[in-house]
Amino acid sequence: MSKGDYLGEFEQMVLLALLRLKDNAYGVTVRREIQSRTGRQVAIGAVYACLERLERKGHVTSSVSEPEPVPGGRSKKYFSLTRSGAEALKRARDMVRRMTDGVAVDAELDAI
Amino acid sequence: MNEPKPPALARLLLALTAPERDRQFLIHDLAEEFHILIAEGRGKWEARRWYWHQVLASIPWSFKRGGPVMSRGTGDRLTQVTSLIQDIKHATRRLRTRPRFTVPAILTLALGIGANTTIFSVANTVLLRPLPFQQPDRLLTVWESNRELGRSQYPVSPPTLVDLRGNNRVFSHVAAVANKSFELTGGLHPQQVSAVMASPGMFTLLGIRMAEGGSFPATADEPGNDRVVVLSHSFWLRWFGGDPSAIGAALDLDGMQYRVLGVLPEYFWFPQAADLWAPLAFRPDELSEGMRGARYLQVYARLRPNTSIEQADAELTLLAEQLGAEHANNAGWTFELKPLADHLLEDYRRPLLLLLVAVGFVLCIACANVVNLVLVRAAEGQRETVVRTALGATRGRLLRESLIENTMLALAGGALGTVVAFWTVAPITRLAPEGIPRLGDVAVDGGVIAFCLIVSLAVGLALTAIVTMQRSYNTTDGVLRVCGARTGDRSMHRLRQALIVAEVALSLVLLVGAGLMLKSHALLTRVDPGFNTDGVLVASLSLPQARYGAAADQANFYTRVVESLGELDGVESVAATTNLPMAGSTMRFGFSIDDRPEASDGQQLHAEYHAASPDYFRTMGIALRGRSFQPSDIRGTVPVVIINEAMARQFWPDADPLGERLTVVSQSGPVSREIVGVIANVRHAGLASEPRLEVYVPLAQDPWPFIDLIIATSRDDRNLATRVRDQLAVLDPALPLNTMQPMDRLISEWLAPLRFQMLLIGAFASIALVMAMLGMYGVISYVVSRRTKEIGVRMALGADKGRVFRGVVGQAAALALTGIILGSVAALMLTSSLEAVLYEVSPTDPATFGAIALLVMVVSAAACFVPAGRAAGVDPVEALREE
Repeated sequence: MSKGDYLGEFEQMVLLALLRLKDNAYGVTVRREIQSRTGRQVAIGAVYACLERLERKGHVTSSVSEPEPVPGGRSKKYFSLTRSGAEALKRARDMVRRMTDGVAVDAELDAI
Repeated sequence: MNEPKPPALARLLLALTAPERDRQFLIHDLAEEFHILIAEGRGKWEARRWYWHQVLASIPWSFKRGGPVMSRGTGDRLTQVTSLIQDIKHATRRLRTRPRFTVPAILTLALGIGANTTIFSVANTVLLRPLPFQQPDRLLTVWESNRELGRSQYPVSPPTLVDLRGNNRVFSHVAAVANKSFELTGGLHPQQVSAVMASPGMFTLLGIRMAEGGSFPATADEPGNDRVVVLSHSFWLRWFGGDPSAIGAALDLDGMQYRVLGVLPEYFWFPQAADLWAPLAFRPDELSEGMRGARYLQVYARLRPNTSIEQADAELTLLAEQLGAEHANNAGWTFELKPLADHLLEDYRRPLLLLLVAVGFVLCIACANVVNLVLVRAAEGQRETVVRTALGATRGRLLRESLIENTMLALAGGALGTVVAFWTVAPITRLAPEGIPRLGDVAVDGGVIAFCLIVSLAVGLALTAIVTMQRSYNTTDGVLRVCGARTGDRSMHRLRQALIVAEVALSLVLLVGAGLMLKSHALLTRVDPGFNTDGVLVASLSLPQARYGAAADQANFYTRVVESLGELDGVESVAATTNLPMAGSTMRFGFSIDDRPEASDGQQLHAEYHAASPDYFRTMGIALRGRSFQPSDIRGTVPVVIINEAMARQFWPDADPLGERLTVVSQSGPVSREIVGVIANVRHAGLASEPRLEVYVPLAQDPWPFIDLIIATSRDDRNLATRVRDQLAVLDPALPLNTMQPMDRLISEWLAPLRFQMLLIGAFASIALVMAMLGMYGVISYVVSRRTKEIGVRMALGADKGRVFRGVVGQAAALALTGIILGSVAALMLTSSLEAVLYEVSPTDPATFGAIALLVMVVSAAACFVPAGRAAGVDPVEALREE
């Protein structure tokens, strides 16, 4: 497995946000999901840059919706996880689990 | 209702920087969240701040992804980006290898852009940013005015306020405020706190929600319910340490208990800064018929939705007519409406606009200088351009390179300019006179940086446009040029000369403006205010109603204060008065001359009213004819009055007013008084003001609960303030004394706004002059270097050094003279806008114009001495050998 296949922390958060949001994942909801769950200020530009990268890697697909049926209605770009994205996420979680197997992580960390 | 929109500038910035493929989604997403924030009740300001933050934080990401598409060319995105990066690298290399061009160009632009950014950041905060209230464009101030009497923008009387509130359909809220100060006890020392008395609906009117607790209930203006206060955020921190349990606590104000209801938010701003707010309540006797003439309330109103200010004006005119018919004191008076923003900002709009124009000139001069530098570079690079064109480089390619190079130059200048602005904003706001609204909030924020960015991009574009117009891409012509490299730059040279003329003209305009202000300032400082300020200290004192309610108590206390302070070592004399000159406060009351009804011509006469202690005129150094007040002039003895020269001259032009009688109205009604003295005129309302009619009565005959103490000292004593404070504490330990300051400061504070404007304009004018002269130096040097050969030939043919020298200087002088003439014409047209700030100087003052023209001439000559000397030093043999 090459180094490029590992997911960065922010990439993981974005993918997990897509997982949570199901078919309502677009710029606003992804950004708000990450910000409200992690408490971290997230720039919309960072979200889009990350989604573009993930799309290039094949972890994410996007589709543009029909414009809203009102004057000046906008269309939205929805994102969803692909099979490969799901695999990558699983791999990342597996790795963490394997590293923590057999260790009472919380207790050990608190003891430091 | 107009819905708040995302900040347009930030949106534009986002549209300019976002990658094309996501641009629409980014803009729509941010707009959606912006409206979510508004809907969540986070407030327009917070939502706008959030939006700016998002845009600025997203820019780096956009650039990491390749940024906006720069050219329309074909080819895939990657090639475009690579070629753009290549161009940028190329431009950087070219700029770096020519530091003698790049460094002066960037520094000049930094100065020009920096000055603009600084002044813009002030104007942005003070003028452009909406007032921090809900829908501030619906807020008005309401005044009373009387055309017949020539009274405009008078405050409103309490009974008229009640009528206004009850009888209109155009305002959703009407509220009034008045200033007050309280004595706060309960801490280590008693202290004076400033307060605004406001109608209970004031905060609803402004749309301000309390940070802690609540606002006044609607019934708080009924006597008995009015012992409640709202604290300013800073006072809450100072007195309660920011403890939320302050809500419900009691404050001891003027000896009475007030309950704390709420705390204002930290961002809250109001023209009258105050520690606390209390409800404005009227007793029945304050709403009597007679009080309709007591106009002292500042009234604010909010227009109902869908009501225009014209509709409001029409309805209030009708109401005023109705009130005038019913009440004698309202007859002839009408209402005047003024948008709140105009009322607060009109005094600052013109000076700031003036400064913006001045820095605009500086930027123009900076650009002209850089264009000059760029043109020289273009001339040097002409061979390269021609060769590359011949080898097939397209016009578009060269234009693109030039655009990138100039934009980078301008952006570097802009970046450095932002640093300049960061450094200068704080000192400038500190130097600025007090009272400019929201000056403390001035900062280099996102909006200012965006402004700086836009200015820089515009400068880069302008530079490219001018250089491109000059550059010929014609290959045939170009080949000819390669052969005869030093011909054909005549049109370029003409452009450079035109730029120098423009620079000289612009700097002359600025210098004339600065010169006029300097002269006006010099004349003002020479004006005799009519009183002595040397070694005189002043401090104000006010007596709490609870302990000094009776007039006799006040009078006795003042006598004791003046006596005991007079005994201090180093004090020459001590006096007290109700209104110090140039401190901004006045009282005006009616008067009439006994036995001479014809003097008033059927109209009510008014004079500025002062109550003063016996030694007032001696302490202030005001010349007096007749007798001053005596310690024996107390209540119960013969009422006396002293008038000023202006009054004596108006009513007794040929006779001596001493011994005549005046009936003067005051707090206790009209009293007939004997004139015992006449004093010299004092410039009470400022150095530029004409003396007004003034009457002075003994403080002991008409004491007021507030006074200013005046202490004339015989020597400089830093400890005097402490000793005065200690002495007062002996008389009344619970009495707070406000800061003591030298009398000089009143005058220098009065001069401060003028001095500040003069300093800034002067600084900009000096920068402009230096830049124009550097430009002149550059052009003349260039001319000399180009003409070396010609000069050599002429010298070989017998021209002497002096003649060559004079020739070069003459050429510079011709440019300077043209600039001076054009600049003078422009200045004549523009300086009339200075008329309002000039004192006894005409905006077309010939002496100033002449002196400045001479200055510019001399400096121009100096700028060309070095190149002229170089020309005169040309060795004909060397020059001809080059051939």
